[in-house]
Amino acid sequence: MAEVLRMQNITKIYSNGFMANKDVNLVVNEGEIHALVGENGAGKTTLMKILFGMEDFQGGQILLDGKDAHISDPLDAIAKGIGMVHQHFMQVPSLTVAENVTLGMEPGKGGMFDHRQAVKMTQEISDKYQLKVDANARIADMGVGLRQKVEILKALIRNCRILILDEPTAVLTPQETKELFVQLKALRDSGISIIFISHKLEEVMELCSRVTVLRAGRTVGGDVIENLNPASISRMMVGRDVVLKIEKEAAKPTETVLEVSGVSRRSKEHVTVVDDVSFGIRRGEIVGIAGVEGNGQNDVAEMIAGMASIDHGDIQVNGKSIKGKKIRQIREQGVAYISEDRMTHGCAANLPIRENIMADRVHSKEYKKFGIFTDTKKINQHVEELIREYEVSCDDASQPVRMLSGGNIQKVIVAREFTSGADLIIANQPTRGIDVGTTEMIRKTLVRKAREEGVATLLVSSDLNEILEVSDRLLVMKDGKIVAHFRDASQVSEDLLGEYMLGVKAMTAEEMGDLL
Amino acid sequence: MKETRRIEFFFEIFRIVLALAIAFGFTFICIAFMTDDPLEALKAFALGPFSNMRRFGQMMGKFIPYLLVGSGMCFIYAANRFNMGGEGVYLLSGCIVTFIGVNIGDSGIPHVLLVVLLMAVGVAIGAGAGLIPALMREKLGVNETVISIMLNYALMYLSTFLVKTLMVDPNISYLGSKPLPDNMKLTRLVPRTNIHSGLFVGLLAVVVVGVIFYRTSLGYSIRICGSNPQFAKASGINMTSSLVLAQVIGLGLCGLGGAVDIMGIYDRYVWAGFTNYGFDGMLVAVLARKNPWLVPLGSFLLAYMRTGASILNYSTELPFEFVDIMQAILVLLIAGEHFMAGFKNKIIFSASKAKNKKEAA
Repeated sequence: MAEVLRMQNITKIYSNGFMANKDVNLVVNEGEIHALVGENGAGKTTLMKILFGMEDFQGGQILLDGKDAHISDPLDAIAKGIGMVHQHFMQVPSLTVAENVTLGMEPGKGGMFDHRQAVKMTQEISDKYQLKVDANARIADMGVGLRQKVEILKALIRNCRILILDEPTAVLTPQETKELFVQLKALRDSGISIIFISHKLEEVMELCSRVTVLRAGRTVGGDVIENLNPASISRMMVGRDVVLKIEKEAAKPTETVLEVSGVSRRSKEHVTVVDDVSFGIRRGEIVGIAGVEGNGQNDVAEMIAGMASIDHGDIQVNGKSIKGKKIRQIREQGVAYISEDRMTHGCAANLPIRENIMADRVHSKEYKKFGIFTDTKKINQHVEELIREYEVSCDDASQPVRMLSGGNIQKVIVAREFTSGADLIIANQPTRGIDVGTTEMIRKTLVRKAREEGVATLLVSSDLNEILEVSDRLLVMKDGKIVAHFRDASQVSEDLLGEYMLGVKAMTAEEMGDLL
Repeated sequence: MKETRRIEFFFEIFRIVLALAIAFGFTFICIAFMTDDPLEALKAFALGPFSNMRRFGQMMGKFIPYLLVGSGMCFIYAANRFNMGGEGVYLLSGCIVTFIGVNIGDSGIPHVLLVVLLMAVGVAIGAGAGLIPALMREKLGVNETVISIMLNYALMYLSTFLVKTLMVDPNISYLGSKPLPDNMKLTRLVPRTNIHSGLFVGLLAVVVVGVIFYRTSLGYSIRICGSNPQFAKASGINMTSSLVLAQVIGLGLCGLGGAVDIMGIYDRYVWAGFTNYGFDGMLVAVLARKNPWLVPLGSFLLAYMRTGASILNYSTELPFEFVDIMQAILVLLIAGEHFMAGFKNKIIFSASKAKNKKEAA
């Protein structure tokens, strides 16, 4: 098989000095599905953005068909036959499929848009590759799975030879995933090379013919799929033999801290994202919510933290409702929140570590002098203590957070949230995209807080290893509903959990029992 | 990452020095083309403000209100709001202070008490007027820039109206208030110059602003809101009150600026149009990069440029406005984040590569 793409010794440094790719190598052959795997933050997306011309790079070379290729921007990449399906679709919802697909290459003459021709072109490609998309449908009326097909159509109509799919299955149901795989295999057989980014190894095993593994910005290995198995790939991904094991004694839950009763929430698009969810968490226990991303877990976490409104039902913390309260009041009622999106909700990147740690507590009397001034000495002492305790690698407390690596930024955030004196900690994807060392520290601290300090903890995570290792009890959400409840998370296998997450199985109300 | 920080710090300084050099250089080239005796003009511009006490005083007369409006605008900038109401507030505050001073100045009230009272009035006028755009922005979501620009005109015409109806002196040939009583004028620190005791007020204001900025929870809140509002919300910071206060304090200081300026150098209230001090406050804040501790430096720089230009204006045939070119270049280069960013990144990249190599070895 001919080699179509070779990325050689690619080095990418961001302007904060962080090196996201270090001498990365990737070779893709014609007509193969090549898996690019690695943990979140390993540099997969960065590498693909470089290939698609969205990021510049500071070292290395990209060869297309063995020839040096200078890819200056995405338009250039498209012209050279590279297509990319992003995690977040780039579409205009109010336009039809044909209009979206032909956007930027509209057929027609003299400035007039030939709508019929656009529909014809789009439908032809869709039928040729059996993508089953109606060219006349409006994007706004389509489901996620179909919208993804539209993204693929956009690449195909521009004659792409290399198609990049960035975690395409993260938003899909199992059926949609299956369908996508059939279509991807058909594309492969017609000679298109596909780069498939994922960290779901069973998908990689099923779909791909070769694998390249990235870890912490470096290429750590790669081989044909026949020589690999999920265990060997994950070994390369995390750099050690076993997945993280957390030693913990059995939980001894006492009184109820969090009580969620019958809450529902509709999204801006009027889709019900949380549907009549009820559960409770007691002092000293960790309750995990597992689920494929986008099934309402994030909304539940945000509602409890006060970041999202509660449309129906009620949430009580320490026996008092939080409905309609300000976030300050909710925090004072005993809630701490580690947000899923650390750069948006977790920190102010341009401000020093000190300000970031003090953000939620600078108003408390504890850090004040004479009632108005902040007690600089005490603040500095407190912040330095946390920097030491949570091993944030930085110059000093006045270093802006943006200069830290992802793992260290997360350390600053958890240092704040773990020490706010909360009775309830909501950890929403607390270790996403960060290094193994920090991940281990955060998981162990979650367990320690629950056991030693009796904190009630809600863990929302799409990392199955994390959710199974850390949680005491486990809930599974699918389409905004709770579909399973396991009293002892340690007795659950990843396979079984997967079946509930994908909706293959669902428990009845009797099977789930009391969710408190 | 220590290396990165060092490089960024170095570039911050380098950038400002380079911006100054480019702005000065370009101005001098313009001067050379526009006059017959460029060296003389250059001397008048660069050294003029220091050539005698009167001219130095002229510069200090600008420096004092710049301190006040500049530190006020720092608040508004740090909150990431573009409230430009400082100009209107400056006028109205000067006007009301004159009105009160003229009416009660000779009633036997002690000088110090009168001065303090009038300054308080200036702050109150500024803060009160500042509430309008601030509340409209934070409560109703109306764009504060649009509102504050409209407010400037409203306040300017209100001031003119007040002068014409209540304060006008019929004995002079131009529009102005009755003369200010000596009792309300600030003490001249150096006789027959514009250096007056408002200097202490200005410096004190900078210190107070610096303390509020970095040593109170309000300052923390304002800076966090300005840097990342979503994070401020998630941390439970009361955004509405922090942002309203930032704008109210900011415009309150602009109001104080107007009051101090009137009491410091004027004999009557004569402002019939924009003084531009309110707008200059924004330039000072940009030059100081939102840091109150750098406001004296930014104020001095702007006062120096402005004074040099006005000396040039009456000693040569060059128009005063040419200094705007220099000012524009300076502000563009200092505010423009991308100026020199490529060069900076290159150095950061190579430092990162070197470090990586060392770690690998």
